[in-house]
Amino acid sequence: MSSAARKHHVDVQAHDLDNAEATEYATRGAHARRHGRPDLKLVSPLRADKASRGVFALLIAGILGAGLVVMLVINTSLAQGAFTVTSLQQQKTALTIQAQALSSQVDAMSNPANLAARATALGMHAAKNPVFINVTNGKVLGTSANAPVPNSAPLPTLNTPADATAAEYPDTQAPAGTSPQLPPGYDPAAADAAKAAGQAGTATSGGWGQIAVVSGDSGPGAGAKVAKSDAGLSATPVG
Amino acid sequence: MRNEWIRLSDSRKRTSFLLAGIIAVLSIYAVRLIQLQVFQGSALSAQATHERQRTIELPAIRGSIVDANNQPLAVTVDAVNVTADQTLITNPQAEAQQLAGVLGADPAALATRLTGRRRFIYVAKGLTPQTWSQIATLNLPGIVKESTTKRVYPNGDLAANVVGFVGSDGKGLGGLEYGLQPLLAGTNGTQTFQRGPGGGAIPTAPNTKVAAIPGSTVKLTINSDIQYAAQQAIAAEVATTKATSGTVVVMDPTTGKVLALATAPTFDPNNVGASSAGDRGNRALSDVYEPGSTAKTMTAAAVINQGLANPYTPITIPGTLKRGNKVFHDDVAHGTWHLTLTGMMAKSSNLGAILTSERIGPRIFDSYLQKFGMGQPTGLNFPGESTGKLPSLNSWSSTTFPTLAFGQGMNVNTVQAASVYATIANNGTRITPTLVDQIVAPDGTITHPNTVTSTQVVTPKTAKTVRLMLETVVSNRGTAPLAQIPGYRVAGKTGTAQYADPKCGCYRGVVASFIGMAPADAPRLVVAVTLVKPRNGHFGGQVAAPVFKQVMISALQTLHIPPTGTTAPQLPTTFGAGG
Repeated sequence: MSSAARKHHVDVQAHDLDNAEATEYATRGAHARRHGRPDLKLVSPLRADKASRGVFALLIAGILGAGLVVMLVINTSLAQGAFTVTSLQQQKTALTIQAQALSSQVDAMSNPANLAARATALGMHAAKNPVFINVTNGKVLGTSANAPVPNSAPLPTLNTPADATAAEYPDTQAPAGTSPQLPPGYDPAAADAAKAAGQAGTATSGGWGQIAVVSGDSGPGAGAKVAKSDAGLSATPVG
Repeated sequence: MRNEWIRLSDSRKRTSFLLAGIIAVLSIYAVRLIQLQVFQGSALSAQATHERQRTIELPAIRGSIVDANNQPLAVTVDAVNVTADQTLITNPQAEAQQLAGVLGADPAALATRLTGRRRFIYVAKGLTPQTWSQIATLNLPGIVKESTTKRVYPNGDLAANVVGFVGSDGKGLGGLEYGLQPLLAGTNGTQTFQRGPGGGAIPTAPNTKVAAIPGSTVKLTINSDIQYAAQQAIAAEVATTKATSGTVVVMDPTTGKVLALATAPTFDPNNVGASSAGDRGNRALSDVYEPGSTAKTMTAAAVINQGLANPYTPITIPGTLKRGNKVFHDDVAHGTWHLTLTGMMAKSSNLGAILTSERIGPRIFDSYLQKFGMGQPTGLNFPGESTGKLPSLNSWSSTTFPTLAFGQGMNVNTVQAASVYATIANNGTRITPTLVDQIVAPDGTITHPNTVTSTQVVTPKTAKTVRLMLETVVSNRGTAPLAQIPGYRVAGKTGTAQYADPKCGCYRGVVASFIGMAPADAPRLVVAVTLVKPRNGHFGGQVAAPVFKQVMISALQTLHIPPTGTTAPQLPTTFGAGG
């Protein structure tokens, strides 16, 4: 017998067994129907089922509860957020207003007309001719001119950095022979600035990068005509 | 019959009957549902949304205008309008009294605004938020705040004729505020949200916000300090000389930047209503006049550049000169003058200029005038700018050429006139003037709106030669010794031209001018001064030169320009035996 044939035989046997089983079930069913009464059997109580249903209900309730809580939290935080936004916006508005007020103050203080008026009130005046000092070699460039000296009313007392400058430069006493006489209305601020510039000229070696501006030369020019050529500053006469 | 009905309560029939009933009712619901959801759905939903939805406009903040050092010239700030609901005010007199205390206004006038049946009326406009907080503490019923913005010019009339002004709606009406309106205004944004019953936004509902794009910041080439000095000087001189108006232009010849552009009379952009309409423009650009003698510089430069004259070229000038059907004179009657070309400039002889121009002829002369920018736009694109007028060559009559040679018969504005001298100062290269240095977009991008072009009009050698001749004008031998600045070399030219009055269509009064530069051997600044119809004083060297000096001194100091330390060579002004 070939091996293939043997295999076939085995298969047939298996098939036969299946058929036999099916026949047995069919027969039993027919038997049951014939008697009109099913085979009743006591089913064990579904304990496990009941337990899972309880868990399920709990789960649903839990989800629902959690959902409600989350909703509450979200709504509360949104409301809270709205309050925060409002209060921050109010704060921003207040700060913007403050910043605008301050910057408009700065603008007003730094505008040329105001600066000129305040400088005049301090007894300052525009230089008639621009004069520069080359701080490398101390050479004066330009021709200095007598400053217009106000011939009425004493100048206001200066508590400006003019004094501080003098203290910072203790060695800046005018060299002997220069400007020994002070004109009436002598302006210490301008003179100090000039001295300071002169001092800087001898002390530092900056070259042309540092050009000091000498604002006006307070020479003995009492009664010099109050020049209309004092751009800006002559608008408000001193005193 | 009843029994039949009752018998319907047989379970199967009853079920069918109930089912039919339920189906019928549900069908009605279904039809209505389809009607509402499918056919009217979108319309109804839109209507519902519309009930809740509000769209508010988010106004864009207008861009600032700042000077070359970022000093603000025009800024937009928050402001408050005070409005009233008259129906809520029970005691207008008392409220007006309290408001008047804060506003500093007339209580009677305020009371009339608070009395009546109107639900909305403005009480005061453009207050600072600080003033509003004072009003708010008064707790006045019916007084409501309306937030707004306000354009503020912190420097008042400083550079007002350049910056311009805005109308009550915040839109630019004059100057650069008008010219650069689209750039300054920005783009308004919107915010769309759903409004709850309390009026607040519903946080969970869709909330779309399109942010406003603020306007760009405009940075000018103007230097506030020089501008201030120029305005003070020209205003004082206009008052002293009783001129109808005056202008000053300060330019950096190497860059074409306009550092100051002052006019007098001017106006305060914070209170435009108080000024006359004529003062709100920019006279340095809108008003044209015949340049007169200042144009002789072009004549001299053209002839020297063509190689047909030099500073020593002798010109014999008779007392009168007939060209075409017209006899030309000089300002002062004189016999025969023996002047060099330098002397012609120093004495500002009209007849000398005619004789000089004839060396190159009308065609070449015209080409130089055009290259110097006569009759052409300045390039500033300023609103209301006039290009002036240079008659076209083919329309010239027999007297046009000699007339143009000494600066009459054509029109220029002060900036054009200054540009001629800037060309000479910048070694013969003409750079188009600029007034707006940068446009800074809200995202920080910087653009330069003006296209700067440079044209070589005359050679550097010619320019240098002309400058030497112009120094003679400022010397004691010339017409403008008042323009001298001790320590500095100054070159310049006076002009006293007849003023073509548009009112009568005739020549009436003069335009006195002085245009100069310093330091003459290496010019850093050009200042042009023009006074229209001065009545106290007449000549450019007399009324305009002092203003030049004042403004130039101030500009030299502001920009820290030291003297060059050289001395001007003395060019001869006369030749031979003449005088």
